[in-house]
Amino acid sequence: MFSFSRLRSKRDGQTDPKGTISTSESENDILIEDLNIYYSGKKAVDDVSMRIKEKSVTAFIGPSGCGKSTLLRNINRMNEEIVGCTFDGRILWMGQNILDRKVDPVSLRRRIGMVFQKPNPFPKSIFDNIAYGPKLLGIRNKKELAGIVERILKDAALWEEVKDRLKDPAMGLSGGQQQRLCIARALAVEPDVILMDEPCSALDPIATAKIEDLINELKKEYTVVIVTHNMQQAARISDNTGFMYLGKMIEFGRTQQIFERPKEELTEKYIRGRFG
Amino acid sequence: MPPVIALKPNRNWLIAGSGVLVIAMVVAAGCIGGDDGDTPKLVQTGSSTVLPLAIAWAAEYDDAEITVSGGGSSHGINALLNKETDLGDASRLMKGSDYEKVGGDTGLVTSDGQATGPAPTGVTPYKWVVAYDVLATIVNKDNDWAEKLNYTQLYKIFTDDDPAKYWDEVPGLGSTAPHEKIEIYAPDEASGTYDYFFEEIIPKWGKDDMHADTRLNSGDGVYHPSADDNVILNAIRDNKYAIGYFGFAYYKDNTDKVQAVKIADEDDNYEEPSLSNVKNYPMARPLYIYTDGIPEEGDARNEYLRYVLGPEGQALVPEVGYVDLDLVDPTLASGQLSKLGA
Amino acid sequence: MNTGGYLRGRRSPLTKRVSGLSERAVITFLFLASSAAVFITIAIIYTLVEGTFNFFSFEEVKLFNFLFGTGWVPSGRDPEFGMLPLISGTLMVAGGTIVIAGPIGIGAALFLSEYAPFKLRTFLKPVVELLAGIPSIVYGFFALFTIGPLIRDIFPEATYFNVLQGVIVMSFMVLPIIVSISDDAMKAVPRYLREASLALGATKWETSFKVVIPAASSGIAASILLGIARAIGETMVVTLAVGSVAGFHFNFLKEAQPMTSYIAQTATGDIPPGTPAAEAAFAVALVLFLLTFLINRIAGRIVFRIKKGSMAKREPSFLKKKALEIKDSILKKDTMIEEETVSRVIRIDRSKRSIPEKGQDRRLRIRHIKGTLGASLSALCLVIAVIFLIYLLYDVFKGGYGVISWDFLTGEPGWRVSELSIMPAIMGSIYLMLLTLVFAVPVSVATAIYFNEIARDTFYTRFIKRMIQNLAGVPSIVIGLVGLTIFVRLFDLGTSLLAGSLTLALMMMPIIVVSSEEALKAVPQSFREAARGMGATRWQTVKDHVLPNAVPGMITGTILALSRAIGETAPILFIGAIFAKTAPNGVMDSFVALPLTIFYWSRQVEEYKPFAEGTILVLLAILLTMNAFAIIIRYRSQKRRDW
Repeated sequence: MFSFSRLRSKRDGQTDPKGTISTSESENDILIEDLNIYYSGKKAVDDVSMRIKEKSVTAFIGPSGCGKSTLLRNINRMNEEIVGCTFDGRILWMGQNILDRKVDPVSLRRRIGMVFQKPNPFPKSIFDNIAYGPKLLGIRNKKELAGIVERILKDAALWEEVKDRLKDPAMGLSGGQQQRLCIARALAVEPDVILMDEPCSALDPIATAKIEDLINELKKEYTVVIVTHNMQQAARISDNTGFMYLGKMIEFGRTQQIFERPKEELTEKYIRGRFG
Repeated sequence: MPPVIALKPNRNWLIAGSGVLVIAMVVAAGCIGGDDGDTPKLVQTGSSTVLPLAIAWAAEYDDAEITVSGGGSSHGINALLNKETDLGDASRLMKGSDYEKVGGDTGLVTSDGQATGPAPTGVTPYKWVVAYDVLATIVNKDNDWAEKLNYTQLYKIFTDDDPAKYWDEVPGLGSTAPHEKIEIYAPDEASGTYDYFFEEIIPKWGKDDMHADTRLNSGDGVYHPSADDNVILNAIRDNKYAIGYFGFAYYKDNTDKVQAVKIADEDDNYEEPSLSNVKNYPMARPLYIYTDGIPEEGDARNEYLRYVLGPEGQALVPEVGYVDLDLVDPTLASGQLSKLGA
Repeated sequence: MNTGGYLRGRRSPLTKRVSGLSERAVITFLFLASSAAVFITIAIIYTLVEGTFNFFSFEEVKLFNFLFGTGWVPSGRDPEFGMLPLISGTLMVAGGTIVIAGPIGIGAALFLSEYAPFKLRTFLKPVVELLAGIPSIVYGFFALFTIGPLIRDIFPEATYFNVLQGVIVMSFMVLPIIVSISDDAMKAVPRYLREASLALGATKWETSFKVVIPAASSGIAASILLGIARAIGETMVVTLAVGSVAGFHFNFLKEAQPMTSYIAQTATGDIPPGTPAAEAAFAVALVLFLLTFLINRIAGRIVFRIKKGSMAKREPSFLKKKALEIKDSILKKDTMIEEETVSRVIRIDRSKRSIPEKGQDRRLRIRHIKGTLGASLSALCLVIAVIFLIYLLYDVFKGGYGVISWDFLTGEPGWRVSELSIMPAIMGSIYLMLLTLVFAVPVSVATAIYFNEIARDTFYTRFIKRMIQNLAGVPSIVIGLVGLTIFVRLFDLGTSLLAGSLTLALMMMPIIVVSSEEALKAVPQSFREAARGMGATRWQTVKDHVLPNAVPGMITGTILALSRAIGETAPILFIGAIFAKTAPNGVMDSFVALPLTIFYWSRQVEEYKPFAEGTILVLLAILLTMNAFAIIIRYRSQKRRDW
């Protein structure tokens, strides 16, 4: 079975000049080719091909049911967990077709983390939520775990708020805190890509702003792909935006271009709010 | 998605459901009304020793419908005194304490188990001896050292008075017996058989000055009590050094599995347990049916008792595994039958 | 169809309510019926307290010795009434059962909930539930005659009656309870928690074991508790297989006497009435009742919470949440300002790596192997249950089908082994069931209607509802004692069909109430609103629109309850007879019933064994037919209904 730790060294060996947003093609970009996704035979995502740049924020927008979440969930093969969901096509990442049956989704998902629409902390303590991933990866030492939890919570800008109650149940946090905890939890297994499925849809504006801040920080080190309903959000945080409609990727390009000079009529209609 | 207005009730099920209920009620009512009264009904309950006999008689007797249940001699007499049964089975005599339980005077019960006056419930139990029970002491088929035992030896094995731990400690067996631990499998204290067995081997059993208590009550764990004859049978069959006892009726059906010991109540008058040897065999006891007074002629109980004490009824007794009255005393049946007007 | 029915009678909107009086009468009737639970509860408490009082009024009985004595020799010359041997017996049985059934049940539930594909699941769940439909007398028989010899082969020191054989069989008896409640609890774990775990790169097994099971832990705990309560209250298995000689020990290979077994012994053994030994049954039953009541109460609360949706055991209580909020607001004072800066200052520095890459490939392989192993193990749990069921059925069939003949089923019974017949028992069981139906159904259905359709949520209705829940958990042997005390003795009905069916009705009532309520709840609320909106009274709404749609569900539930009643032994142990030549033909007649016949024959010489097995086959055939009817009715009504 193919696993990604072998690729890690390959990746680390590359000397990507730091800070420059590369427009050049990299092996660390996620390259989606001719992807079709079906639910019990019905097409949900129709022949999508695109390149998701590394260390940037890519947003998928589009009306409900357009397939943007389905597309997102295929990048870490979460769709496999849904009975009756099938797909064909390719997603190339780090020189490997990650949709290949030989690729172990367990290994893949560790590299491509995911944050969900509704904050979904485990019914465990804050500490245990963060430590869950590292423990799976074999870190048993209490001190070491504590170090990771602290660092990760600091990364997610949550440390100051929870440092005094790490043993308290995560369910006791506010919605925004829960969602940041979930982001932190995803970071704790040290992924390269973070997929976010409408992470702010259940949150109030202040909590949303905090998460957006965090995403801004994250993209310096991670490839972020975000699905959002909120066009302003897409405009605020993303570098590239894809507009989907009825399973098709109608238009994909620089965010500024999509919002200011859309090429497609459908995109323009949607962005101007004259849809349906 | 349920429709907002969907007033299409399906009454068929309601009708079907009510229909079943009504039919059930009719059947139930039929149950009440269906008492055609052709055949009289009798209820018989009591001693579990008498139970197989009672079932056999009930099955063969055609002039009444008899339902039989167990529960023990005390239950049988108590149920009779409380008018809960027509026939009360007992493997022991009625005692003053049975009267006491229904608030009666203990003095009204003779030592012979007969009532001299009615209990407060208005019932005056009358005793009928219907058969004899033989108790068999049982050992493993491979046991060749204790094929016969006398009361002294039984006392040494079964009581708490300095009991023998190993077979070779039993007096009189000596070197023929192995140095192996004795294990006892026998009825528990709730059983009438237990009572009877110890009444035989322990002098003054049940009195304040009785000579010894049972090995079960000594607490040395050698006596494994069981309420189930099956257990005793299987345990002894499987354990070469085990000994126990139960009713001969049960032994009779299992002669291939265990062997019965010859018993002597003196030193060496060993007798074989068998139906024909009942007069000589020391461990035999009468079984009783109690009724409220002597049932008059024409009464279903009178007819039933006539059947039980008559030749047909008595013919069944040995087949079930008990001893018929004639074997013990030829006048016993006829004497009782004459009281019934036969 | 019938929609116009009541409109015709209500042409003028100003007409005085035609049905006012009868409406009130009906509702009064429903209210009275719903109060039956109160009377049953009073009957139970009266029976147990009165008997216990009698017991303690004997001189030789001391409360302290009863609770802490280590000797239970009730019929001895020098009787002892120390309950600890009975308690140790019960503890061994319940504890042993949970040690076996707990892991197997949780494993099987895990497989059903997490691994089994939908089709396999819909097939396997009823199979597991079939285990719950087999009467306890059959389990007891199987324990004594099939499991017993196996155990004595493996452990030669095991006695004929022993705790282990009872425990093994009891484990499969309580398995359906554990599986179905644990499975419900696991299914109730939200999908997003599983996804969260999988998205972190956990394997399915890790997700199941580290997220699903902990999140469902309260439900699993409840299922275990209910399993324990069932094991504690179970009578026939322990009476037949565990034994009737009390000893204070914890040896599973030896005979023991659990509490229920002693109570049963007072019904079947030679225990003289009116003695402390007989009255002790009531005191033991009171302890048993309180114990099962307590366990069921706790488990009931947990299950209730799960059903209401707040599944997380670790979700903080309201008070704790408040406390956290306050703590938060205090903390915020210092962090508010800081937070602003913190989030700006933060720099994610990926150069600090904590997770070693070395060995992850190997670790992953091990994790996958563990996962496969775990999944196989949980599948194995289910396979074990299915094998047990098949083996039990096969074993009984093999032993019993040979004796089944026309004479055996319909002939007049003789006493010789060659002449046995179960005709009176079949008829006795059928009459018993029909009478139970007559007594239990109207009251139960009326109760369900009252609570679901008429009653408002008051203290009184909540009180009675809880009472009914509690009644459902009363051990069957305790119901047997109640039947003996109330119907046989107090009402002077004797050991009659009437007393027997009334006793069984006590047992069935809570079950039928619950299933009827479920049937009523399944009728969409919109039906009621529509009818009420058109001016129908409450009772008219129920009668014309709710009831007709709920009846199939009620019939199904009732048939299932009755199929349980026909297999019950313990409640009629005190009432039924052992031999009758003919079927009863009046409600005041004594009767024999199939389970009692099995019980009696299984304690006879070995020649009776095949006949007991044949009787089991007949009983199972009757149960199966009734269940098939219930399923057909459910299926047909579901097919016909348009909502």
